[in-house]
Amino acid sequence: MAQRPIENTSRLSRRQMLKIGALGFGSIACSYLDGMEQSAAAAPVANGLAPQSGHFEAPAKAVIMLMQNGGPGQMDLFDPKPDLTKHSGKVHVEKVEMFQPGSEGNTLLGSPLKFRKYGESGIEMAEILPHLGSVADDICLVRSMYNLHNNHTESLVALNTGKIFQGRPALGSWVSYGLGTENQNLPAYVVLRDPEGYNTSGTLLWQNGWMPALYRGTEVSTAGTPVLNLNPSQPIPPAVQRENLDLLAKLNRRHQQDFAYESSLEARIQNYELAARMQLAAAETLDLSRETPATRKMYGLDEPETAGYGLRCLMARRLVESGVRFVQILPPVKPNSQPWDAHDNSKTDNEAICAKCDLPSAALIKDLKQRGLLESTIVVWSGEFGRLPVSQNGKGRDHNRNAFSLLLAGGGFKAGHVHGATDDIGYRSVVDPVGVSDLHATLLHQLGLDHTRLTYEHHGSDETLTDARVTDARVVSELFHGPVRV
Amino acid sequence: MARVIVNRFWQQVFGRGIVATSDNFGVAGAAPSHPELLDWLTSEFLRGGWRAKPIIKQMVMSQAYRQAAVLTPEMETAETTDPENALLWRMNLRRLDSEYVRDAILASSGKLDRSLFGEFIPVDVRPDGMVVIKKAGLPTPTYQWRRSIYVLARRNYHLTMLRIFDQPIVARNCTQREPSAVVTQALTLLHDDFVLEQAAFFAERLAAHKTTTEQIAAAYRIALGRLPTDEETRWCAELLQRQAERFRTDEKTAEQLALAQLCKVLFNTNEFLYVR
Repeated sequence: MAQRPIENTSRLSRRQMLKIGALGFGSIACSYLDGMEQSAAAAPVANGLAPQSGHFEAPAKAVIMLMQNGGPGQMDLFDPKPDLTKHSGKVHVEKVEMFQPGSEGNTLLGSPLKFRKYGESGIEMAEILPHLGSVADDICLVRSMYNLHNNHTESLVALNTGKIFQGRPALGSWVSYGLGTENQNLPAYVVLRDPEGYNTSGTLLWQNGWMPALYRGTEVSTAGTPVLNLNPSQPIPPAVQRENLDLLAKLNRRHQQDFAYESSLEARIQNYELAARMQLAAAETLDLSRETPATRKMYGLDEPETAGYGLRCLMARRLVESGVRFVQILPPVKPNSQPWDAHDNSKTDNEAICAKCDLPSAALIKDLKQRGLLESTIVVWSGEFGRLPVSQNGKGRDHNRNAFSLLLAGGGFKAGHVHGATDDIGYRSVVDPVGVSDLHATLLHQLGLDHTRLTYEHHGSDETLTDARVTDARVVSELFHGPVRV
Repeated sequence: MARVIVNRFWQQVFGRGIVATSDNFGVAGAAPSHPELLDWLTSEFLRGGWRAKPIIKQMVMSQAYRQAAVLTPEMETAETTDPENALLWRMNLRRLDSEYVRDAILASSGKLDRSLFGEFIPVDVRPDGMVVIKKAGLPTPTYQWRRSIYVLARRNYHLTMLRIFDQPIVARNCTQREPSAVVTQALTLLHDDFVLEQAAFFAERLAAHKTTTEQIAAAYRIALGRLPTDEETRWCAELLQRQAERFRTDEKTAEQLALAQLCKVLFNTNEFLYVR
């Protein structure tokens, strides 16, 4: 059976409870809309998104996941390989796992990008990442990641849901399910994508799978209406709306009297009140007018190159500040819906996307730190896989599931630390390798959740995010700076 | 296997299978609430040559199916003894599945195109993420209003209207839908362009009736399958009067606009979404 502790406030089954609640709601202190009739029938309703304590004490309360679609090249950005440079142009002895055509020559390609040491910790990263470099002492760089598949979609789905097969709940769904959320007027799990379109694999990355729909990532737009249908496309006069809701409440209360046993009716009635509160809360959270010019500048909002991604990073900070549990940020979709997919040119392709993402990513970490939010927020910066040490069509690199680098910050992770290593040419993670399920187990741990005990019953079996019996997922406690709970 | 199939039919008809865990008949699943009934229905099913319709007909002709879902004071003992209604001492209150929600709106507005077969209805992903019906290039003007079963369900992009009401994703098999009550459903029924458009059509349909009282009665009959009580008629009439005042700036259409608001309110009622 599911292990998540839930207070059973009425004779609701657990299954019923998970279905109701909206994006969640505060059920007792509901302030009714002006003129809405109060009713004695308004009893507190249990809620699948009520804030929950985890299995044990842990440093982190929230997650911001900075997805870097396409597969950032580790040996060009985070994982310098002098031997690769030395042997550049030579045919490699081991035939590498190729995905697309163009790498048949198996010819090693040294990075065309220069590296330098950053911060007191002296972590080596590419010169085209000066801003992430400026927070080197706040990040934990994992150089020994690996994933399961060489195609974007499978690998992205695995990074987000634990398996390459579609249809399982995303990490954000599991976290919302395990911990609920602090702000009942905003979604628990928010997705901030480029308003211009979807990245590769689109909504697959924030699916609820077989969990109830309230655990699905809610797309919050940084342009136009923040949440779909939050407002009508043609404005409705407020008085008209209020009178409609008054009548609706009266009709629903009357109807409810005949079906006192059905808790979802109460949830549905309260959802109309929540809808109104959400309009206010969303407008407030998305209103940047109180941000200082310095903050705007820090996130690059005044520069066209960084404005879009910067706005999403700033919004993520505001959402976490407002009590949102999990925020997933997607990179720009133009000119490419997987901007890190440097098949053509390791130098120019990387320069182009770094110019957009480097500054805002670093700004988010700095800003969280200066507001005292970094210790309680896990920032994950990750692509779905890495790239090959051999050249593709001369200057590019093909996909490589066997090694990639990712950044962690805050949430009780070591700062100014490098974990693991790849082989001499960056092809394979060989020292302290970390798989995606290990990553999930580790992230859940820092949120106070035991990946083997956070279960959801599906088709008669207790499913977990990590499926540790199959994947051997383990918590990578070497990444934690504090005392490690065993 | 025949038992499993019959149990799925029962689940479809009653909202819950005789074996509640319809995807798990093993030792870890739930015990059947009416084992003899399941056996008997299964033997009938086998005797009839595995034909679905006769067995479903048998179920919907039963006294159990014809019960109301309303809880009355006489049911107090049953309510205490079997609060989950495992023994079916009343009907279960069932929320319409996503496809039926859209179809019921179209049926109420009078726009439902009931034609059978033919090409699927294509969908379009808008930049803001809303998945809507692609109206350009449809074979007939009413094609967009065909039953939801004809709407294309792409692996990843379901019609927003349907997904919001828990249409299962294609990538996974779904043996039992889980109707949720999330706030996006309220927002959709209050603000979605499709709902507002259909509410206006519903109001047009009601305009054939002369008096406000007749219009309200017709709206109730069409949308909720019953006549309103006197109290409900009064509440609705008050709304129409007040809303018409508010829309008065536009003399000709004020009543019509008010009526569309009432129609929208009826689409939003729990009564509209649930089978009693």
